[in-house]
Amino acid sequence: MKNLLILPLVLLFGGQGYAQQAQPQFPLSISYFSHTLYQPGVKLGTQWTFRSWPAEGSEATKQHTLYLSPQIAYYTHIDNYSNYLINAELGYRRLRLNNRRYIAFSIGMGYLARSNVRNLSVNLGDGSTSKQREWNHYFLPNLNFEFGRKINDRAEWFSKWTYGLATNFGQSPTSMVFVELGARFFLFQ
Amino acid sequence: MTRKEFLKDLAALGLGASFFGTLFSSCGVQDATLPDIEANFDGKILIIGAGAAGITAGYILQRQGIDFQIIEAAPIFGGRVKKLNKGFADFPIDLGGEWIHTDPSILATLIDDPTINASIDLVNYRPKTFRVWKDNKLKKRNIVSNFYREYKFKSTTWYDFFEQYMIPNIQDRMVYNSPVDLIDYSGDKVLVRDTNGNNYEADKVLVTVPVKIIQDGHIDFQPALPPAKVDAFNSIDFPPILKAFMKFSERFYPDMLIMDGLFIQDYLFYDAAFGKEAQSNVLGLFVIGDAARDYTDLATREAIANRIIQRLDEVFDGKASRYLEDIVVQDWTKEPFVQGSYSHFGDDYESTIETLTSPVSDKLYFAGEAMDVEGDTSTVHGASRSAYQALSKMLRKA
Repeated sequence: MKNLLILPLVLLFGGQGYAQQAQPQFPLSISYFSHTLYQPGVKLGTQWTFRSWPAEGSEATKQHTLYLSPQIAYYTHIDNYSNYLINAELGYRRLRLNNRRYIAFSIGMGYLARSNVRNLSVNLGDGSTSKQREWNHYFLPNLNFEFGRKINDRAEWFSKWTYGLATNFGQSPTSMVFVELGARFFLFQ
Repeated sequence: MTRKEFLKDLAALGLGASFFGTLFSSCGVQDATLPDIEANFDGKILIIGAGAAGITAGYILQRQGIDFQIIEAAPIFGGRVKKLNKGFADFPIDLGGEWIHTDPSILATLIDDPTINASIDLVNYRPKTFRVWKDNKLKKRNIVSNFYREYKFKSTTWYDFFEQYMIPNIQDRMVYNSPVDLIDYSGDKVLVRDTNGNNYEADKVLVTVPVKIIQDGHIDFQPALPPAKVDAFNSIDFPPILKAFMKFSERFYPDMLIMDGLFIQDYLFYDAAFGKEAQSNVLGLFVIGDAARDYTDLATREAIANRIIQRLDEVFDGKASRYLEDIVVQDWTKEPFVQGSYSHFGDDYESTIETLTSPVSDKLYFAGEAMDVEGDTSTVHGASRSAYQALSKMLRKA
């Protein structure tokens, strides 16, 4: 457990300084993942960079990247529903080498499985409740904007905003907004 | 969180931030515990009104072995809790208070009997399809489904709750068809008179009638209530309200239709069968305040029903009149012993509540939907809980 706590700190602060180089492959990201700010959750993801190139010119100050990012996530509305999300995004990222900040845009497609509390039964003796759940399933096409900053070669923080449309065949789509705040670790350079 | 508060918050703070209240209310946190009642009183108590507060007060006193009587103006108990039995639809319908605006464990809290071996099924009320009617256009607003959440009874009603768990203990202490018109607390005993000329006597009186009845002077207090108390009552807005239920042969409506804009939630059509596993297609109408006057100003229920269907036809291209099978209108504004909806407070909420709930001469006490000191005014559970609060004050002083 102690090692688990130390690892992120080492990754965040133990780097050898920032180096201008292509994005390492398969970083691991972990983030606080929230639907409409208050429904808390967590998201894990990785990223496969399939093209990365510097800006044209003698002194390149920007790095462009195209990537594919698979993710899994969980979030909940306490006592109401639990959600399991599998998502994949195709994105473009532009890193400013001088200040190590970046922005990224991506388009994704997710599959959202929701365990919904449909009914509940209240015990009148002690007030306890038992819940009857149902599953709902949605496709979740989404658009994403992300910004962040590299801390060193091994870590960066980011914030990400997602707009999605939860769609199934039984009803009209529902707009959804997600907010993420997380860190990405480059473990396998 | 009431519907009105819900959308006011939305308007004020924007989507998302307004729903922290909902989050916290859904964390399984129990409502504040009810005040203890010290049963060291051997006099008689009269309860004026057999709504949620009056019934609960009787239930408490009966369990404490204290002598009491409930004087009700109407021929039935319930007040603004009223039920439309199965027959109109294949499920019973709340014609008055309908939603449970708090953690559902409040039901156990109100009964306050750990030995009871029963449970109640509820609907986790989260409509999925929302539409807004504004500027003569019907717009999708399903995003609201991410935030909206309340509870409803699944196969019973608020009326059933009181009828099943409280009324059996107190029904022999209830007097119906007795509108009280005089409360004389000038002497050692409190004298109460109804419009039939019947007189009642007690040591203390718990008044649970709707605010409007006090405001309009239907009860003559002798001596008059303190000016601060009168001012507090008069400061409360008690707007008109109308509910209606339409049964259709086809379902053509969303789970919820908000009229006149998303942020004005005084005017709703909603699928009354949502989550109830019913076969009937029943659309409910809830309209309160100025929007309700469009209906309540009409003279007859037939005229109101026609206006409702006309309005729905505008929204749904004539489908309402095409598929209509039956309609029930509940105009609370025309109920002689209610005359409106529920309390809407001004800016000075806390001091108004304090003044309203303060006893007069240690003989008159007050309870009802406007008196819940825990802050859930305008709700059925708040009215019920206010009975515990009022009796706690009354009996501790004895």
